[in-house]
Amino acid sequence: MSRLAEIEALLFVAGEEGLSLRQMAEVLELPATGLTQSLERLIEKYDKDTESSLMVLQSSNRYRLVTKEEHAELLQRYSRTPINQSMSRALLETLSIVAYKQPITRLEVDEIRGVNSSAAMAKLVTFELIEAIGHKEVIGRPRLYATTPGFLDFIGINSLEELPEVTDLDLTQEESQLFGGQALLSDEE
Amino acid sequence: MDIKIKDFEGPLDLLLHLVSKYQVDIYDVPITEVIEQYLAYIATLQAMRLEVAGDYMLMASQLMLIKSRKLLPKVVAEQEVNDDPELDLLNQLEEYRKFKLLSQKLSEQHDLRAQHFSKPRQELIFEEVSLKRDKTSIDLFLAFSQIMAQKKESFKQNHATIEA
Repeated sequence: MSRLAEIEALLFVAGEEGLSLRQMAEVLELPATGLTQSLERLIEKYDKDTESSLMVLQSSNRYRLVTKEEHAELLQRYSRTPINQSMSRALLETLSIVAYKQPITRLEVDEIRGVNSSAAMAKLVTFELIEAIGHKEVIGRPRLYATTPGFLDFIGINSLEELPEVTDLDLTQEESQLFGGQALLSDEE
Repeated sequence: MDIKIKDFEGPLDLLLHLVSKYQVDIYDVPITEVIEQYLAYIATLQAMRLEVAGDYMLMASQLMLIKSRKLLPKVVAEQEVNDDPELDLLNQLEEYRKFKLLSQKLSEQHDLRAQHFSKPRQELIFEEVSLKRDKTSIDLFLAFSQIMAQKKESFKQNHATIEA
């Protein structure tokens, strides 16, 4: 039986949940190092095979069997899963503040945005992108929020260290195009 | 004024837009002029009887305080009191602008990730598996309310209504 086929079978059944290296190593009873090599071979195999629509994606430290990006348009017409939906600006702003400033209270998010963020925070909790991880030991014991492993998969990275950074270059570029990402609803009046 | 309040994610976003027209560093912005524009904008909205969110009003009052303090002659002893609200506001704007940018970047990254689709996990069923019994009524409750909340949310997103 081929090792690659076994890994493929596992990834296929795991679907969107994916598998961590450790889980796979346990099930296959293999050392993790050998498994990494096999995974790389499998990734390469898909990569070379233009007749195959599949690839292995690594995010949030899990491997998932997913479709290649060239089929995105076709599949968007067919499927709508939460991870493939775009978000409103309010949600994105709130999410990015939590991502970079975690652990953070709702009030601290409000302060940065200058508006009340409770609705946005609740939605992000619903989508399992952020979660309450404890309380801040101040008067009122407000909840502290942090991002979930699902958030890492949401933007396709393995750890928070890989979050993009803001450079001075971005800031100057943004001066000229402050109105790039407009809300869609504004022209319906 | 070709902008509508709906285009903005709150007063800081609107201020940022007014400030950006000056094409200078945030800390070099003629703050009194920006305050004037902000107040004029809010006044116009109100004249048209549009609903203005409370956050915008709160910001308006803070700006009025800054402006009135700027107009008064400086008392040497109270110097820090004069500059503080203004500097706080500028710092707030700077911070907000940073996150506005970062959220755009995250959005771009998510769009790349969203081009890959996968299928739900296949639930395998075998005879010799025994039930763990590690779930309680609370887990059931949370699971269902989660599904309801997500459905509600996606329904809202897919059926855009024009807000009056």
